[in-house]
Amino acid sequence: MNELPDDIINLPIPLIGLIGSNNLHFYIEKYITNKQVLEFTRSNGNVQSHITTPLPLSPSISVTSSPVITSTTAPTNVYQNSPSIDPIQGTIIDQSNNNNNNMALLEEVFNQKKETQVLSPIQGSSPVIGSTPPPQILPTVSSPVLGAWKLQQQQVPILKTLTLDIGGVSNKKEKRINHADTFIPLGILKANWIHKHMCSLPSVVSFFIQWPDDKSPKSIDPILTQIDTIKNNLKNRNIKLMIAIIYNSTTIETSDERIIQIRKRSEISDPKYFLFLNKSEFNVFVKKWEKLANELSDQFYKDECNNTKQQITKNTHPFLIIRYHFKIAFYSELRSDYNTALKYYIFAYNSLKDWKPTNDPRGERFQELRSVASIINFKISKLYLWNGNIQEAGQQFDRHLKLFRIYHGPQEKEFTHSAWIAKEYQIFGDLLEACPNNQKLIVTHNPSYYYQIASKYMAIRRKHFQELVPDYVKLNPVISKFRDQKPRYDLSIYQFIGQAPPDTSHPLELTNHTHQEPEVDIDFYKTVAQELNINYSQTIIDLLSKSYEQTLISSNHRILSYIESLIADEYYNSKQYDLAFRYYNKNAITYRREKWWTLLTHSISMLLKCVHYLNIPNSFVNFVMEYLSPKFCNTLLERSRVQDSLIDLLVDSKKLQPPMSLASSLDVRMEHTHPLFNCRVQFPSSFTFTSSQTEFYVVFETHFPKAIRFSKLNVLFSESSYNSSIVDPLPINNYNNNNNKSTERNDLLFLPDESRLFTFHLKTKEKMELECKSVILELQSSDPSISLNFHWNISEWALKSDEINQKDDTSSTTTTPILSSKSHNNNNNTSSNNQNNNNTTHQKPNPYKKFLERSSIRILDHESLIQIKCKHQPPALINEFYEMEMEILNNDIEITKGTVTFEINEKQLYLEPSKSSEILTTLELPHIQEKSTFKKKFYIYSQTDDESKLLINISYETKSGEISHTSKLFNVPVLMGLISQFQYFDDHFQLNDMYEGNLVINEPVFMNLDLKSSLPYAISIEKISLVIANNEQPITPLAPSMGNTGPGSHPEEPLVKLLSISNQSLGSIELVKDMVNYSCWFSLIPLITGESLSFGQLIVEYRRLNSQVVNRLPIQLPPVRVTINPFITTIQVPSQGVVGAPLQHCISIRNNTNFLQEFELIVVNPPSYGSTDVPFFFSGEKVSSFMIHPECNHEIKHTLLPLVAGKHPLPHFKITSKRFNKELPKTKNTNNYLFIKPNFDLAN
Amino acid sequence: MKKVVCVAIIGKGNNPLFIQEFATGLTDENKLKLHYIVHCSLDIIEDKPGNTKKLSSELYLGLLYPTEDYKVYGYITNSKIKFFVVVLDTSDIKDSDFKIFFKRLQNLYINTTSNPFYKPNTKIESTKFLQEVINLAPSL
Repeated sequence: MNELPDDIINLPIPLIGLIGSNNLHFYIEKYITNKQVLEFTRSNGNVQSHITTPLPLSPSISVTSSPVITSTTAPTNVYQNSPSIDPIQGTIIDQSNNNNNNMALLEEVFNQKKETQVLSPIQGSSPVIGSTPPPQILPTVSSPVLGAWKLQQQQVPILKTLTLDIGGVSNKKEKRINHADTFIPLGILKANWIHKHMCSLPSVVSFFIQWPDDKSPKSIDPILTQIDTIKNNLKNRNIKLMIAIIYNSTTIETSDERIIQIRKRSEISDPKYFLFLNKSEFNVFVKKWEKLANELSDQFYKDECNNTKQQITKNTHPFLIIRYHFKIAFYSELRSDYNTALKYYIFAYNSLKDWKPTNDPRGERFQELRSVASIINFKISKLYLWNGNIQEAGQQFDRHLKLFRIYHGPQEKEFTHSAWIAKEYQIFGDLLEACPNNQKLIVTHNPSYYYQIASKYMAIRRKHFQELVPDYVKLNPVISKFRDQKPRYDLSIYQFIGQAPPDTSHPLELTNHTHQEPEVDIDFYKTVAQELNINYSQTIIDLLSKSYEQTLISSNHRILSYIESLIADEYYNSKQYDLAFRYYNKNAITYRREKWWTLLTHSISMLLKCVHYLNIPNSFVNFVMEYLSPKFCNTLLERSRVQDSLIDLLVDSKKLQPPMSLASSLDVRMEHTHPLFNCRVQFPSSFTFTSSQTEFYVVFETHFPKAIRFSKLNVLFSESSYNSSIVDPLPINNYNNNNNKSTERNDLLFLPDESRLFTFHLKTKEKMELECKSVILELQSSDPSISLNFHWNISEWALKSDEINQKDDTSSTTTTPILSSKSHNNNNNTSSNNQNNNNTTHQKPNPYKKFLERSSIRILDHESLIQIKCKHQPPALINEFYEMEMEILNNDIEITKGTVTFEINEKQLYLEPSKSSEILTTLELPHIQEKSTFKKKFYIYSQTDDESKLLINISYETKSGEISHTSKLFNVPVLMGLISQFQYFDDHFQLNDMYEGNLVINEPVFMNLDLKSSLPYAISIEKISLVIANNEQPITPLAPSMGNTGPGSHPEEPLVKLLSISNQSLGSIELVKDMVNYSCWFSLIPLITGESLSFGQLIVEYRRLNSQVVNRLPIQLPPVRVTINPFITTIQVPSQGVVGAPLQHCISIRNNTNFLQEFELIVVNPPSYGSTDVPFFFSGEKVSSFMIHPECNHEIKHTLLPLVAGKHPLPHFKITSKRFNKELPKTKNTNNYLFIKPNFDLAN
Repeated sequence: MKKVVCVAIIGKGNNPLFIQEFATGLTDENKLKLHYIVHCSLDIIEDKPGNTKKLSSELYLGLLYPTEDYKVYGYITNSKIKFFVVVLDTSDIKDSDFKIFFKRLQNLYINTTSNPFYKPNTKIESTKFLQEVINLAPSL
């Protein structure tokens, strides 16, 4: 239990004693030169003496980087709230305060880290497997801390001073003459030796003499006396003396007799150690003084080394050999001769190593040896490390531990040995951490490893204490007395390092106990009392946290995981399950990622226990499912037990200790390829047809260690009406299998490692894309409202039918597409046969083998197998009742009923070639036998020359109830078909060019019709008729007063008067394109004037040669201009005459205009073919001009005398209107002939 | 006293292919600890200088991870298959002996994994291989 005191930890500094002129000591100490060294300081900053002060505080774990996570639950350590001793440092820790402070700090740290550290939440949700990365904790940047020691660069004086009284140095014990032979040491190292040399025994004494002002020789007598006293005091310790004379005057006479006398008396051989100090030059003096003091000090320790070496040669006792080697090493350290120091420390250690205690049943020698070895090992390790010899330091430590690992001593004290080993590991870890060259550290010498082993021995210490210390000691009333006492770690109470302190208690104390148990020492009771106060778990976790922190620097994530598992184990042992859960969960994430199933199995099994104790059934279920995975390295028995616990959770929660049950139904989202329990689904094909039957397969591949019975299997589809389920009425803890495994079973019992196929028969409805959304297996608890639902979200991962189709092309499956089979069998087989054939090609998937998964199916309408044809002869003509004959050929099975709908663009369909017949829109199909046809005639009537688009939709139902739809579009062009040409001729069959092509009202005109066919087929013209249009339009203002069509004319008056038609009595005539035309004459008299008048419509009645239907094609007559004649000229002349007999020729002209008209008349007699020049003599004006008033008549009369018989043209009576500058049309036309008979009377 | 406590073969992706303990009387806890040790040793291999080289003529990695009770020695093939041998801390075995042992172990591994029925990078479950390793272990 000895703790390393400050004097061991710190670099030793020579001690200089100061005597006299005490007021100067402060200034000397102040002005002593400092040197910069890397040295330990206590973390609290108070450098305290090990003699009088309590030992260092507990090692403060750097909370800024510690991975410690505080518990929110109350720790269960029974000693937690009582003061305890830090097991490593042996320091009292007030658990009630310190621990709480630590916990509060750690809690704060944890809360800060919670945002960055992703730890699976315990409450409310199940741990997500593999979803959280391991937390990254930043390494500390604080300086290394050795327990309560902190390593830092600091200024230390090169000398330490100590104010002494004259003769104040303790006297050295006189040794007997035969000391070396007879002395038997009681221990190895005296407990106070180091401190003595550090704090009370100077190497040099500096005597400061205030020079007297009195110059008499007697004035120095007191000084001489003092010098004698000092000399005698220092003599037997060989302490060096130096004298400084302090004078006040400006100069001092060094040859003064008194000074010589003092020098002689002091016996200082070298005058340089006899100094003079003028206060005005104090700084200079101190520099000189410290240099000389250093020299003397070095000389002193050198002498001590030599003396001690001589002692080694004289003594043979191993304790003394160890002691002297240690002393030489320590003196060398004081001389800053570190190589020698290291050499002698090693000698000391080797001497110690070679000595084996005998007859040590109580283990006291062993205890002393290991304590001394611990100190020497520390010194060696430190010197090695400070020299950069990390490898040697490590080897030294390994040797050290190997030497003392095996415990020698009474069993009940073995826990102290574990504590010692733990401390050794921790100290070496601290040293490595504090090592100035620790960047060279390799993994074999990493502080992390030593902290980790320290924690392991701390756990062994706990175990040994709990198991090996008898209860009567722990429960002894004396214990309670010592538990409240602070431990005496004052080395001053020890005589030798590593030995129990001498019992200084009053003889009457503990009388009863010593009588009862004389063999148990009081020191052991005190040790046990202090041990009882230790919070092992917290200490172990603190050590592991330091280890974690160090590993974090090197970023070795696997080692970090291991340390996490150790921390978790400790939290679990201390029943802090929430914290244990978090660390195990982090562990699990790492091992899942690396597929280390053995380690993962351990983590998951511990997680199971944690969540059980924390009463988190949701997480419990998740971990059970993972733990049961066949990949895990657990035994069948363990797996079976865990499976039972899952069932107990639902059925009998009291079987679980502590009891745990589900408060409400729980949905467990299952992965597609869950290693324990995976679900696959398949529709046998990618599509099917409406109103048919299809199957849906659900395969569960299970690896449960024992049989498990589920309550219900639900299959949910995108259309809820298809949802199906299988219910097993038996309770879930009934594992009896009444059915043979080979037979088809309807229960939901899964035998171990059994894979089962469930078939659902679905009757398809309307056309849609049907998708399986999820599959749910339920475990019903004893409470009917609570169940555990294993939920496979199929839609997340399963392939859709389209994707399957793509795969179908490249992969061979058992599914044969229906269409392909149909296409092969379309001509020979019925669709029902096809369907049956398809059903037989689908095989159920083998649940023990891989198969193509398909979660959706496309429900299509049944494929129509009927054929729609239409017999017709395009093109159709305008206004024709275009005959079409629809023919439905039934290639399907027997049609029981159906409907045909006709859609046509803005036209009508008639059942008969008459507008009065029924309009056809829908048609009910009759019963049509297989391979039979159904025919129906109908007529399209179109009044425009465009295209008739007829869509025939047929929906029918077959005898087997399958409904199919089909449609077909027919395009029928509609044309005029006949090309008509109209020409107007006058009554002389001359093309009508009179009056500039205009027709003249009331004057007969001949209209010639010429019909040509543009149709590809021949038609027969049955009849041509003309429908005269009536004057329905008001009279145009262009000719308001022209003719006799005044404003008062009747609007219903026909435009023209039909006189005759040439083909009235003609039969039918066949009209063939480019071969036979059709002509017809119409004799007309326009009755009404107009600018653009169509006299009416020509109605062509025709029929197709192969049809009896006579259609009427109306052809609108081309518009013509009908005008009135401004002058009505009437010529009255007989048609024949006789030679020599006068004829009367009268021209009557009526002026229909509103103006006075002037005319010129010229009569030109045509030449005769007879014997005379002219055929006629005539009387009357040959040339004249005349005028006619509006609305007046004028007659011109001539008398003609035929001169020659025969056909003779009449003389040309050319009457020209001056206003129009035109000849009157009547007179212009000269084709009037006169037949003159010979005058036989005249000839005779 | 048997020196070899455990032989482990770790795959390219640091997944265990074969781990076999040899010490008799090992508790489950100690077996688990061996797994932890081998797993932690992977960190050391990754930290080893020169391990990043694509091909190294020296496959033997030497002492990887000394623990209180055991020492772990490693060997890495050019295809990044790692071999570990965990021996007792008290064992004093020469590196040359380890090299010979690892070379033989590698040959056994090659012979086993050359079996066309072995799926690469999966756990080695061949009983023949196990028996051969058991026979090989005392040679160290």
